[in-house]
Amino acid sequence: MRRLPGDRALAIARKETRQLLRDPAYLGLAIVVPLLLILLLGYQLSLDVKGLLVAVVDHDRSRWSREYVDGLVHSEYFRLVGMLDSPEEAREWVRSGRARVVIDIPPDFGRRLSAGRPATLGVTVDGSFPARGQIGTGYVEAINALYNQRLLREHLARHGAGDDRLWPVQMELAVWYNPTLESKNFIVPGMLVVILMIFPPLLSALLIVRERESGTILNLYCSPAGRWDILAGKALPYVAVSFLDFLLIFAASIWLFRVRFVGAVWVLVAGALLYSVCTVGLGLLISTLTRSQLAAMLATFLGAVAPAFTFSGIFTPPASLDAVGRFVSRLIPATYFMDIVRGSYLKGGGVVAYVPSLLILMLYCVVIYVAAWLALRKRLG
Amino acid sequence: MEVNGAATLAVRNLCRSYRRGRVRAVSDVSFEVPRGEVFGLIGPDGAGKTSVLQVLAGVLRADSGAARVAGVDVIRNPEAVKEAIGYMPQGLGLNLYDSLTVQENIEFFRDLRRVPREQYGDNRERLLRMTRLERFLDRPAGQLSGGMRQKLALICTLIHLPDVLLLDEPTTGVDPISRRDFWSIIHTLVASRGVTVLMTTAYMDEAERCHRVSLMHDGAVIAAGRPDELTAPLVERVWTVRSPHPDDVVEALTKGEHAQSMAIAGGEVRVLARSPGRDPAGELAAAGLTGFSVDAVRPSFEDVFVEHLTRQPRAPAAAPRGLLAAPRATFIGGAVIADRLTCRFGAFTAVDEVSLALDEGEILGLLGPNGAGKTTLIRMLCGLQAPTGGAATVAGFDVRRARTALRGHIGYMSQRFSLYPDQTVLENLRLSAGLYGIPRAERPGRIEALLSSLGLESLADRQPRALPLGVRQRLALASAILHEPRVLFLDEPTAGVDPLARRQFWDLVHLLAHRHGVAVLVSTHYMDEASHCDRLGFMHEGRLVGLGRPAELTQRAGAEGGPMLSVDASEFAHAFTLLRPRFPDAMLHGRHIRWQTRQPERDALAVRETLAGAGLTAAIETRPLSMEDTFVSVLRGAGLGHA
Repeated sequence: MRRLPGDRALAIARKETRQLLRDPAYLGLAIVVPLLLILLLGYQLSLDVKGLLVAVVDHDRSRWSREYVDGLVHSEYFRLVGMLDSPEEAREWVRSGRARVVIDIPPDFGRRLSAGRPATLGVTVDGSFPARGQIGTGYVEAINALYNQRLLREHLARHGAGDDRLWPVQMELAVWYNPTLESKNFIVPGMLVVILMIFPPLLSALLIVRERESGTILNLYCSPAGRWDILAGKALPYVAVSFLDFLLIFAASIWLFRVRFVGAVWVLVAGALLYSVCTVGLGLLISTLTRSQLAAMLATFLGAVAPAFTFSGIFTPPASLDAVGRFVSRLIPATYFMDIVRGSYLKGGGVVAYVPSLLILMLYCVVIYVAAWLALRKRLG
Repeated sequence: MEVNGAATLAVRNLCRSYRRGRVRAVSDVSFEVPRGEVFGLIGPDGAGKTSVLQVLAGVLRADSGAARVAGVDVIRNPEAVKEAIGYMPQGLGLNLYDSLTVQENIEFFRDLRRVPREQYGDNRERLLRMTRLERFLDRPAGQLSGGMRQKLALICTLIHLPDVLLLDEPTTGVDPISRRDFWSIIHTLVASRGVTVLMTTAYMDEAERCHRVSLMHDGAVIAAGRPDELTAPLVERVWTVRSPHPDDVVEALTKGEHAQSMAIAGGEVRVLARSPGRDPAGELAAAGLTGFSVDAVRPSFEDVFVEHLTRQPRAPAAAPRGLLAAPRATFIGGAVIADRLTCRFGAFTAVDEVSLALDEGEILGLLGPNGAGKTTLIRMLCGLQAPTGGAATVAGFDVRRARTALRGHIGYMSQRFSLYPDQTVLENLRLSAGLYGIPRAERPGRIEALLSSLGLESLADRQPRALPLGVRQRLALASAILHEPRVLFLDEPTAGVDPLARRQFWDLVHLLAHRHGVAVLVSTHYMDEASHCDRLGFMHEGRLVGLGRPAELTQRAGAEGGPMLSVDASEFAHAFTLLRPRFPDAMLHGRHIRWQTRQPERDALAVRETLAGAGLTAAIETRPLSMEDTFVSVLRGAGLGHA
């Protein structure tokens, strides 16, 4: 019977697959947790600030103050949680998190406005979460400006003048790629990149070191199986798992979260395959270099997961990182896959645009596996 | 350096050290193994056996020296040897994948080794039959017993029919029936296929099952040759002295010139004489002792080992005469009483209705393989593990209800080394004194007294990790008896310890029991340690299957199943194939063919006829059963002789 060159690798792959399928912890980390994570993050991790909790202390209780509060309440950005009696009570609500914004309307608010005089109201914003605080402040300012515009328009109308001259420059806004500026269109594809950098390498990082700890590694060392057989046999099932994760997350992003996808699916698929080979290889490389499973996991967190989170551009575009950050972002594969993913989801465009990133991912695969081949010695000690 | 090209395995001047040369694991080891021979590397833990095997398997670099395996220079070209070898690592089935079934494990090794289909089919069937694992093909390897795991590991190692087998402690901790199966497979393969086997073992009594052996100690070979060649120089140098006062015998001989080494075991003193021919009776009579009897005994491998280790001038320290200060206490009814004690973990029954009683001043040994329930039983008796059934009283306390009170009256030495390796000996003992609530003022005095009576006072400031295993175990014992317990539990205290250190350890146990009246319950998987115990219990799969004095157990098994017939034939492999059809129980035991029989005379006659027909000659003798034979016989009698 003629033997194929890869049959030993297949024997190892078959064994790894069986072990994976029978270990609930591995299977959970391979399939269930990634899916759970994307569901949780997709639903919960939104950078859009909506329904900000607002409490109002209305000392005035006039038509004017009511109109002002209506302006807040009728926007989707605020949710009125209570009309309070005293500033002390309001302070307590902010402290306990029942309200994030407090509008304090003084007793003479309506009187001053009806008299044509400026009025001041107090706005308190919970700044403990800076992004939310900033956005909340912006919203209040915008709504305040709208109210002022309305007062002005009424004033001009009363004096028989049109308002065209007041706003001579009109802006026609066109937001590309993510016209509704919804953060899910940004976050979900980003999470795809990061999740594929967490679980596949975390699992593959254990593959060699685990056998080293249990002693079964000697089966491979003492057999004629070559180093490529060992690496390929161990990588294969986990590349498949990683690709399965990709398909599941992709499906969830399109059908569950309804993220825009305008690009070519096959470009994304090609990128995902290369990226999976790469991330699993990174884990294997770590596994050949470490002596305990704990060390392997820590090394994976520091060497693969953390850089992907920080420098791939999931939250901040790499261009806005400092020089060191930009340099690191160029070094990690996640950045290039991020380019392919974000591009495919949001921008589309020809294949040509993604060729450089695909080639770089390919180069990564070669470098990582050659390094793992060099690091894997069929020797003890 | 050249090595013999004709031998299948040849090692010359092999050296290997660890930790940048600070630990010499293998120093200057040489041996040769011709094709078709079973060669044993015999020695305690740390002797360097595993390192030699790993160098030969091409997975460990040697510092210097030459090694050839199946015509390949392993030092230069380690990968080229891997087609030819089967390597089985130390530990019960450590080369197996627990979540894979028996069948899947075998398939993995088949595919890894590219075993051709037709060869695989035959070989698999034969191996499964020999190991009696056919019924368990669909069971995950993780759910097999230790013995079954080890046999499956052997199948996986043999599935590609390697020419050379490298087996690292394949029988350690394995139940005696599996151990027998194991040896029978090895010898069958050697006889039928000319496989060459290099194996290591810490069991001295396994030397006889090899064709040739090297005894290793501290990385060096201290003796090598055929088993009978090694024991031959000790013929008429080993004696047992039976006496009502064995301590007096030891004392008398310590003063004299006759004895090179002595060990007390079960009311007897085993004496290794400095020169052959003269028994110790004269010296004992001169010391004024009476009422003793002296017998010459067949030298064992342990004797060979001990002889080599005691060639240097005798250590000045005599055995300690006292270890405890407190007067003897008396328990009502017995020191340990267990009544149908049971421990279940889910569906698994670790200890199954064990009943036993232990008196003060008595050593009760629990003999059994790994996983037989010895440790769980001891833990329950120490109050460390709650029983799920039955009852037990230890030192007068109920182990269920008075767990805390119990602790102060018992000593427990766990299987694992129980001292902190990075604390000095003194710090360890102080900690132990504190934990057991010894009054602060008494601590220094007691620690000093104990260390000096053990002859270990010079080690007070050393860290245990730098000490030899045998010394560490004696220190662990010291730590367990510092609070002068009346009942002592020792869980495999001598596992991996060299024979001399083991004897020293047993001397202490003897002293504690027979002089101080401490009740000692000790577990072991060394069959040859049975003789140190006053009474012995065989443990198998959670059950206590035999309990009695060692000699009684052996006699009873011999009376029921007959003695062991041993055939030493001129061509043992050929003789074996001739005899096996007539005597299905026959096993190869090194060069001897052995089986237990109720009709030794009739069998001997049949053997002579069969062999004479083929032109072979044989020396036939009957031998009393060994402790392992006894164990197997008891198991078979209890209907437990399955896989």
